[in-house]
Amino acid sequence: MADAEQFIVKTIRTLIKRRGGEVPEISSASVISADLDLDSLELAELSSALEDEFDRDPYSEGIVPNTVGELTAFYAE
Amino acid sequence: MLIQILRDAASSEPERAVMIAGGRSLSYAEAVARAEDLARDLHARGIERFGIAAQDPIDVLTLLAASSATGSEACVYPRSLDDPAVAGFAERLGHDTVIADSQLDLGGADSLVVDDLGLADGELPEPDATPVMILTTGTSGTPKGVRHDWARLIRAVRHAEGSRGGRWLLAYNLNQFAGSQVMLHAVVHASTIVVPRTSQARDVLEAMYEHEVTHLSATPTFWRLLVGTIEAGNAPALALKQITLGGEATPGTLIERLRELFPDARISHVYAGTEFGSVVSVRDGQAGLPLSVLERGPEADTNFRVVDGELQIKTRNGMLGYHGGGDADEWLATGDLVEERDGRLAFVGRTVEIINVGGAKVHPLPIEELVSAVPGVVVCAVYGKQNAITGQIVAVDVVAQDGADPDEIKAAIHSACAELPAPGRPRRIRFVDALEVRGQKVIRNEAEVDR
Repeated sequence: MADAEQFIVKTIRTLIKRRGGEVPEISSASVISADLDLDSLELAELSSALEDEFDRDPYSEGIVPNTVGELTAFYAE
Repeated sequence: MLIQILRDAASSEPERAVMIAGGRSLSYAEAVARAEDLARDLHARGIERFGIAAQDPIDVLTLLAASSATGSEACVYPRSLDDPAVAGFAERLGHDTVIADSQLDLGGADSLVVDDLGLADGELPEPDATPVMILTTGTSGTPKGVRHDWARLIRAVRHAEGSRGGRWLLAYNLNQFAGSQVMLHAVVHASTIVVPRTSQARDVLEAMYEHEVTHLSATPTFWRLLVGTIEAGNAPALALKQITLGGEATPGTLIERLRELFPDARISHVYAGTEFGSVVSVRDGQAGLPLSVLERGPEADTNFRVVDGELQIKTRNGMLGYHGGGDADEWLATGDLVEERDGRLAFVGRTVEIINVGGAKVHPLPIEELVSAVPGVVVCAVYGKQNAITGQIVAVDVVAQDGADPDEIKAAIHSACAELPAPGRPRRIRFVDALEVRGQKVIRNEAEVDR
């Protein structure tokens, strides 16, 4: 679970940095689309990275987590 | 006919080797004699069509020449098939006879052993047609049997320039159209075909040094690997006279690299396909085709047009038709997508390789060009990967140089691709030991290789 959260935060940071954005404080309450402003392509990249790292990702299973916390929780199941 | 160009070469250079393979060397005179013996046997047995599953390229060459002498239609099967696979090809292609190195268990078809053949007496027939069947690579499904005619194939090769007596390396197998092209070019120019132990870059280089190869025709994928092997091993210089690239789009960056490595070689890239033959050879050192190919007019053997971004070809040098029907001498869709860029017709991908990223159509080749130029990248393949959010994303498999830092390469790839529209930027970069290839061509299809 801690591993998942660490990986998710790191991946999101990389995505925001690459587009030249200011990386905000990322907490489990951060809303992925609004607070972090990830667009659909960045979200697609995140889902692919999660699939590669953990062999499954919520998006492929029809779940769209709202916050970083919800996304992390997917891997706690 | 293949037998005739062998005889022509044998009359001036009987002792010269036509093929060196597996430590054996076959002279032009020996090739003609063996092919004629085989032809008499094929004729005596009344064999009109047959499959070749023999593995020794010397047997394959002489069997093909024998078939052209009798007018029987030979078809070389892919290498290293097991008996059921050979039987499957025989059934699909309607072959009652398959000639191989040993007796095969084929069910319906007769299995003949090549070393048992060639003992029949009799006259050789004078065939009025000399068909040959060549299989497609099957990059997008089961290989199809394409019927060609030796006379047409040789006519197309004859006006190609080439010095006599060169040594041509066979980097393809003889079942591939490109392999048959190398064979015909070499024989028309009374040259020697050198067959490496395997088609791994290492073995190819070894054969090139040992036999002082002067001509090499291979896919861009293969050339990249060869260049990588040469650069990694401080290999001594090769006195190549002719470098030919084909079978895939040739990137301009690769042409430049080859020019640096082989300053004395003539470099050409050919546009060819099993169905339409070899239709254009580009020697001006630039990638893509000159726009003038679109304005050749009805007198030309081959015409080109672009329909919905796809290159189409109509040619008099192409196939007679497919096995089991299918017209020739009509416009053929090539599956290659082109765009006009800087006065050239640039190849951007194949119809089956279009990546649909959230509705945006993305072509893989321009992305591969950018990624290939990143320091530390040896070769790469760009393809679509299924994704729940955007349907597909652009994925890239990278073979990195030994000792390169993967994180640095990833970052460099992302900055190199920042100039692309967002859907075209790689979203998944994976490091692999080698790319998926078939017939020396990169496979860019996630489903097929189960990436």
